[in-house]
Amino acid sequence: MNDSVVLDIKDLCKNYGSRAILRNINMQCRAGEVFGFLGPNGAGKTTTIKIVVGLLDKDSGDVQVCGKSLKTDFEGALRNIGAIVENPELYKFLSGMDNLKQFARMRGIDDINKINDVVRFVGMTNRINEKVKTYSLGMRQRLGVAQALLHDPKLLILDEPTNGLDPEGIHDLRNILKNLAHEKGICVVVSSHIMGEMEQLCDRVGIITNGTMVGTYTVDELINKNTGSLCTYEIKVDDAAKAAQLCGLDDKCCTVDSEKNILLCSITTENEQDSIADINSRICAGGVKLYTVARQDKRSLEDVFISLTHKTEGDGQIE
Amino acid sequence: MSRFFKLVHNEYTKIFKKGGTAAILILMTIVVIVFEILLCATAEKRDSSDGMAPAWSEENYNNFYNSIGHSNDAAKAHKLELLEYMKNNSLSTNTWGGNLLMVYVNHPYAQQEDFPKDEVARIKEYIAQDDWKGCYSYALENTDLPEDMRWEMNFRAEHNIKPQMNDHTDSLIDKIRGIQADTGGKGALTQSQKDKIAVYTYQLEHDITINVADYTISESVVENTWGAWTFSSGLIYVVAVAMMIFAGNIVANEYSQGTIKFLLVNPVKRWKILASKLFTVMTLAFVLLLIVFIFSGLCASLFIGANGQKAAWLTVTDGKVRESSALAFIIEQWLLQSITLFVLVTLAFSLSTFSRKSSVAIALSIVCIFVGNTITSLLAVFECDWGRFLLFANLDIRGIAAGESMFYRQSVGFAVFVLVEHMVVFIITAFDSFRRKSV
Repeated sequence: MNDSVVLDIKDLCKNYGSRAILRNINMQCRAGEVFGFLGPNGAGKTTTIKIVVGLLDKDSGDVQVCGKSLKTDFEGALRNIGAIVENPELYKFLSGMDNLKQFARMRGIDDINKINDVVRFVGMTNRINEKVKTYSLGMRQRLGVAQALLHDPKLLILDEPTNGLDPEGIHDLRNILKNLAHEKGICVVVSSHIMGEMEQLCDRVGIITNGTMVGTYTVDELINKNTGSLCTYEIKVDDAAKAAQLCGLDDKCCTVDSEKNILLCSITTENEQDSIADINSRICAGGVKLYTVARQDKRSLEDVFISLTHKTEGDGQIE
Repeated sequence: MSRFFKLVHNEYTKIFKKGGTAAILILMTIVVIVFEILLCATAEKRDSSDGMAPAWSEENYNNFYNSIGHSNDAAKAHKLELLEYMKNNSLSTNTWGGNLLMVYVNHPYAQQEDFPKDEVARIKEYIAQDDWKGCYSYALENTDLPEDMRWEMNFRAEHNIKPQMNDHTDSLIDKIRGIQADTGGKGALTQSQKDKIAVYTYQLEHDITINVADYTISESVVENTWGAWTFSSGLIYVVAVAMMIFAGNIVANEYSQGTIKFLLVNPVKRWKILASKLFTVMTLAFVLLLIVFIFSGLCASLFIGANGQKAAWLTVTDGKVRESSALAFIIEQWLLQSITLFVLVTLAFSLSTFSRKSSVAIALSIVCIFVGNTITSLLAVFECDWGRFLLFANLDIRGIAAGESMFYRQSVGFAVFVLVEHMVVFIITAFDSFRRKSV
């Protein structure tokens, strides 16, 4: 599969005075995927996004959107970008429709039907002619998304889009974004801290910490422990150490957690059912009480994230 | 290019859909209306005293009759007879005939024979034929009239100015006589005196009652439409205050409202966005100016009027009098004043872009005006000649054109240059800061 690269960031550097905020950021996002941009607070996510949409100047490096460099063809590049960056506001004294018309005029959209289509898409048809100051937060978010989609951009960048949405709103937004990516082929880049959301929403993630890219991974490869032909079982017993001796596995296939009395067994997926049944019966036969047996499918993205970005040095002070 | 006008469309929409705009415009309208009401109410209307000679009133006649009757004048019988004649033919002193005859009524005669009966008889003949020219030339040659009368008759005959005996020609002739008298009549007149005489003469010859150039804003004699309309150009400062608020807000509001991010993340280069905002405030200033111009013109003509008097704009170049329309003069006065408006709007706009706070922009602009004027005046008083390079020394283009500059001999060309240069600096500062600023 050779999806075209929509957003191409090469060796991006940015300093504020003597502080290096971004150090050689390299990132590529493709059409038809939801790309999560993750990092702790202060890592440089918002700075990177602002540079991509032209709100900040970079110091060096190149940003290309759909092959157009921001430097040489600003208007051409921006034509392909729709974005919501850092809680922007709409004109409160205008109606939702008037706000959208402002953007339509700036982007050369004359057809009122296009605007109406986008309004319908985000579910705002009934309230679109009311002044924005009467809108709830969720409605404003939807209108923000509508604004971003108005000109059929190939790249959609959303900074913390689920901020303030109720669970249903979050659920709806997730579906909209997935639809936009997988069905309409848009490259959706989302930056967020809410790992549970990211886990459900994203196809790939890029992790940034301290101004440097840690790496880009597919979500699958990060959270699935099913690499190759091994799987892990979590067995809760009353005496983990004794169970470890009884189970008949090597030391390296077994991990004991004495505090929680949990035994972690790594077994091959071939004949895994027979193998686990065998382990269970051995433990029971040895007189150890067996409470629960659970197949561990995944780690949480949160755990992975923290382990990848955790700083071991320093005494907890922010640098 | 049409994309640019779409941006301007956006800006106008934002201005006019905001509630605050209505408030400012209403306030401005109230001030303008109040100004015009006061102006029109207090303007002195001229009497319409042209054309018909008023009838000789009974009371006037009686007064004269009695005073002569009681005098010891030797020729009083003749005088009374003359008076009778004047009364019967409605020759009041407001007519040229009556005026002339009155000289004889008033002149003291030692003996009855001294009364020049033949002269009077001839004059009566001319009067009966309404031949003022003939009468005057006869009188100049054959009679012994007072010097100023002779001069006037001579002047009128020479320039063919019919004596209508209303205020307007009289005062003009008086003015001319005054200038002549200033140098003893024979001595060298300065060019400016010659110019004045030329203009007055032209007025008399062409029956132009009002020279609108006499009614500049600094000579606030509001007697007629033109004077009132010119005086109303002071309203430009009211428009300036309102426009400075709009200009101070238009950029800064995007920041304070939080809408700047949505505005900038668009396929439009930043300078175009800023240019559309500048264009919006400039055109809005022009439109408001036009509305105030027309409104004050209407007020001036409806409520003050010109009583059918002819008005023109007379200027003298190289000794020749040039006549232009009065309207052209008014437009020129307003245009010169309005330069201040556009410079101040640019100043407020630049401060707004630079500081991103509308309060700073508006307050600083207003402070600038007051402080700027004060400082410049002080510099003028203390004769620091470099003060002429400052903005505020050059704002009053109209005044400079009329020769009322703060510094010694400022010229209009130089002033315009200073203003344009300041505006360019303001605009460049604004565009540069907008381009660079991280948001």
